[in-house]
Amino acid sequence: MNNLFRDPIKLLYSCVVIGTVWTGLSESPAAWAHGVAISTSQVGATRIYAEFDSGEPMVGAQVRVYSPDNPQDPWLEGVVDPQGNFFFLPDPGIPGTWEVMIRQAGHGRVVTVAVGEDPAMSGSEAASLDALADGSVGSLSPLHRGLLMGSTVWGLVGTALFFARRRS
Amino acid sequence: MLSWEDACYTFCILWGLTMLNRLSSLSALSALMMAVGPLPVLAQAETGTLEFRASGEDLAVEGLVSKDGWELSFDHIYVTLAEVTAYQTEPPFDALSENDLELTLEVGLEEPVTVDLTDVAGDDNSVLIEAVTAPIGRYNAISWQMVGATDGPAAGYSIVFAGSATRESETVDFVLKLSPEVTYTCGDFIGDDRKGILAAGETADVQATFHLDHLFGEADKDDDFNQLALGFDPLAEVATDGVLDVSTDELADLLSAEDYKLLMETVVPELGHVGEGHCRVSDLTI
Repeated sequence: MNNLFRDPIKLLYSCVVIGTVWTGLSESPAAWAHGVAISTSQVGATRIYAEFDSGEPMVGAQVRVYSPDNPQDPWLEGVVDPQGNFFFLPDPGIPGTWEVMIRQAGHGRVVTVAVGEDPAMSGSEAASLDALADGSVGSLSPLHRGLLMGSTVWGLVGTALFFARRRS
Repeated sequence: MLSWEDACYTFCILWGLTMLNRLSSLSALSALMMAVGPLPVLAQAETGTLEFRASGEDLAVEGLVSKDGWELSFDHIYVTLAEVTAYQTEPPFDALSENDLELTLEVGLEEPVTVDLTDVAGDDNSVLIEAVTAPIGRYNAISWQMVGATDGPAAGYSIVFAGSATRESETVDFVLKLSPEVTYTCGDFIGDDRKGILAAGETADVQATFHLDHLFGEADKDDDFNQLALGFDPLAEVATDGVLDVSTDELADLLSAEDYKLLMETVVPELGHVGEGHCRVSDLTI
């Protein structure tokens, strides 16, 4: 009984064809295209399949797709088709974590689709966030830290030589 | 404005070069610095105002007709929240998955707060819990505990419903004083608007949402959620002379074992949402 409350909406999504966009491999989409062969297509699509826990497709559910560079405004809007599917083609020029929000009858869920390179933060970005979390005011890359330390040593040596020259 | 690190960095280079009188090395250093890029624009902790809000949505304010035909209106819905925390997560936290919440930043409230979900302001039927200065970024997850209030009108209880229910010629004035404690951990807000996207100098909000229809159900709906809701009939049946003022302990004696179990173990813990999004429920204590 609890399960219906806790997982009222069962969303399955497949990124099978996403790989063809980036690798250029020919891959049959027969699993979701009813056997229609478009295997040579270089254009992939992401399939979102949405159903209620009862197994009933979420026909007509509202779908909003958000690109990684603009989580505020939908990049695409649509509805789930009678089979419970929604297909879209992410812009490969916007790599990162795309979000797909599906809503119906006052309940919804967001699923993510990774496009392109791993959208995980780079080291410097992560360090910056850690610094913010720690309440500090900023961060330096390892290279900059090395330069700072080297420059400091250099300056100290220069200072010592300056005074040594004056004495001599 | 340069930070102390920038200033030290620049000073040391210039001082070292001057003292050693090795100007020839300037070109080498310049080339190195060009390769590195400009002096790091150190991330000043840009901030905005992050509002923590709670909402019982329009049902808390406008009332509702329960699945068994009672017209409910609420004078107060007190809920006490503790350890309210907003997170920036990557990957985005999905409460319905098995994955852990992987945070990159968190901002939390220190003290428990009791709010009245009927005492709203603004168009979105929400009530402000507290506003804090927070680093910019995208707060795409929130967690909170629903705990017993230590003082105030809801002292001793985690959530209190006060109002009246009318069906045909019958009216029941009710005060339901419930004490389950539970932790909700939720992902991104799901609704017409996106929330939690905080820009420098701007204001954004995150919202703890409570779905009253999971408790009372709604007329003219027959989905699974409605069927599982308690409704108001079981409560009306234990009212005395049109009044029902009961606590969790009293309901344990008054309700059937099945209804009490449904109310405490299923319905009340599942009140917490983020808009239309579901939350992970843990640490339930009745």
